Amino acid sequence: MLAPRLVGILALVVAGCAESGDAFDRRPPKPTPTAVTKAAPVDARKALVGTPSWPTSVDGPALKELSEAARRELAHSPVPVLVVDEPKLLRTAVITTGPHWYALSTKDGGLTTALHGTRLAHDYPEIPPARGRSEVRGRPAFITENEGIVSASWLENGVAYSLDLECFERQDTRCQGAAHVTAIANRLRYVGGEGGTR
Amino acid sequence: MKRVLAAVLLGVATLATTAYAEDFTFLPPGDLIAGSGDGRVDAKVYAPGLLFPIQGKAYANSQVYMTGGLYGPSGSQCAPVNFSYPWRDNYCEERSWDMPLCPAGTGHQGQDIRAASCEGNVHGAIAVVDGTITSIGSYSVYLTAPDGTRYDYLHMDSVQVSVGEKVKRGDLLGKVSNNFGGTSTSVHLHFNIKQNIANIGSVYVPPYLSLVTAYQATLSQPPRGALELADCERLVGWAFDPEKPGAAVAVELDVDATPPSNEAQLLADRERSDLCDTLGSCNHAFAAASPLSLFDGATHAVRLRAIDAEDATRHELLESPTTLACAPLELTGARRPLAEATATAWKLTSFWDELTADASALPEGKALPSAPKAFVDPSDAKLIWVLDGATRRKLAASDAPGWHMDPAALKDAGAAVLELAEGPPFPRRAVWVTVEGLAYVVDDAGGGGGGGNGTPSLPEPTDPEATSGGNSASASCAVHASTAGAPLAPAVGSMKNTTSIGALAIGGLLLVARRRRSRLRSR
Repeated sequence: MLAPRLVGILALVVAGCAESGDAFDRRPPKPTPTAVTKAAPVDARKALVGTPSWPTSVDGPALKELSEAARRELAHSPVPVLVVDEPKLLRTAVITTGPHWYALSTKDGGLTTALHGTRLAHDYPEIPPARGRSEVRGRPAFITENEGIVSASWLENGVAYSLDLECFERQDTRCQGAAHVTAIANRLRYVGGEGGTR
Repeated sequence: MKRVLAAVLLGVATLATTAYAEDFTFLPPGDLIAGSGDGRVDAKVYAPGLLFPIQGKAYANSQVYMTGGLYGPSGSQCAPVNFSYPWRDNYCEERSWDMPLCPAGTGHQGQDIRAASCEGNVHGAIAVVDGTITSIGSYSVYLTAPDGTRYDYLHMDSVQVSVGEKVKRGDLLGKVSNNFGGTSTSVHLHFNIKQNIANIGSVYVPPYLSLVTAYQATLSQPPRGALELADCERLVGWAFDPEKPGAAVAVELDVDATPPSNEAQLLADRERSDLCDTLGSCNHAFAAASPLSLFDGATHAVRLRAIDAEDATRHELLESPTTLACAPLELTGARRPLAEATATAWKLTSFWDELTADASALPEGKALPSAPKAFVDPSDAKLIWVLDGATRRKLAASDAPGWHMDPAALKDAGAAVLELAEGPPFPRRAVWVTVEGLAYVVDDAGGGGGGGNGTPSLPEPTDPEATSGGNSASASCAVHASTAGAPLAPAVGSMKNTTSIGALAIGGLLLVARRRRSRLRSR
């Protein structure tokens, strides 16, 4: 047989390929970089970034109850961080932060508590100012119920805060009416943030 | 170098309309069901650019005032009328609590949306934006965007995320369901958008038009992709269907405008890290050895088109069509008999792997192993060992597409494999030839199994991993699989400016094209 010992490769002798350039890069490029840190990717014409006023003293006992991870995270908060005044809830609280906001979530005894504070406001000139009919922390507040979740929202320190209480059982009175959410809101404690006193 | 700008890639895609896009209609914002309250007539899109929060078809309408609802016509919540267009706003529907943006000052905070069917825990709910999961309650998940806008998903089951987790737009959060903390509700997603409005504070804003535009965007986006590299060695690119971000898109290859056969398809299902951020998920790449049916010296027009699984429409990839002119190959080594079952097991097809060439001068070697058995070298992920008779033969992972293997799906070689004698390198790609009507695969090393001179006399292929659960490539090969993120073989670059004259001078023997239908040898 014609069997010369051809060690090695099958010589892929390729000739005359129409595509002759480099292995040019046709990968889909990354999206155009957008500001992802302090300048949030929102339409600047509608975004107003407020300058929070920072309380002068931190609630030490409340701060101490937070986990190390939560304390680390709150130090990055661009707004004053308010937390619930309940050691048991503080110990399991998860704090997250964004370029303009912080959030806290904690759950115990069939109740989920969520706090949120942001310094970025969306300005829609055609929407007139409005004041809440209720009051929390000595300020006008809106209190609303959303599918069994009771929420209070108010302005404080140049920041828009909201507090949401969600009960596992719909019959749970803590999520019925304004009393409990108002009481929780009134007892919130300031524990710091990136511009605050430590 | 050719570069394709993001705007082109993402914006030029043909705006084909899918079947369910054509019948999508919606009533104006604020047009609530009569007697259900005063809606907010507001043309503003408060959250532009959202991804629609439910996968597949969806129907926005009231859970309370539609059929089967507390104040709706009698019947089932699963009644077809509840799962039909037009959509209807139910923000500000009658409720008793503060809602400063509602005409009555009170009302429903969000929009109720039904998925494609009333089955619970089936239809996915996905992240509408990149963001952070900031709270998960008994039946709520809050997703907060970098600008502080909060998106609330209520009533889901099978929640897939945890508090503090960063998610990408399109990530699965959970399944649309009727979870309401032990209380009954219909299967739907209650979706809120909570924003800080200047001079008001954090309030629920109208989500309806944000959802309408998001849904329209989903409907109007056909599969798209790009042919990034096309030469005589490889076809590389990606394809993606925004309507089914988790699904693999089939790509059809059309040569010279002839109707493509079923074989002429690729599956864009390979993982590639550079796709993740742009597309929202990573498994949308394809790579294949260029079809040998093109290696005849002629110039061929090649088009690659993504197939929309919804309606079978074809959508041309960017940088397609192109042309390829590939010279016939010089064949050396031996031809190894190929049984029909073996061809099936190796996923060889006439379109991709058959070369029209005269291989009768090649000596006949041992049959190709009946099925591929291949393993990744545990110390070098770029190296694959292919079992051939009593030997293991090396194959670069970047050449795996030439054998329809996916290196990412192969198991690591165990000791039993690594103890085998090393044979000559495995051919870089499958080359199927026909001699006197019989099918063969060309082995440049001469016929396989360990001898390598074309006249081996070796034992039948064995599987040394059989008792240890070793994986065979036949179980995991994807059809025309890619390199799973491996860099392109240097050979691609080395082909540049290769001239036919030089190639011919080296090759010496150009084989005369002789196309004939192969008759597979049965063994």
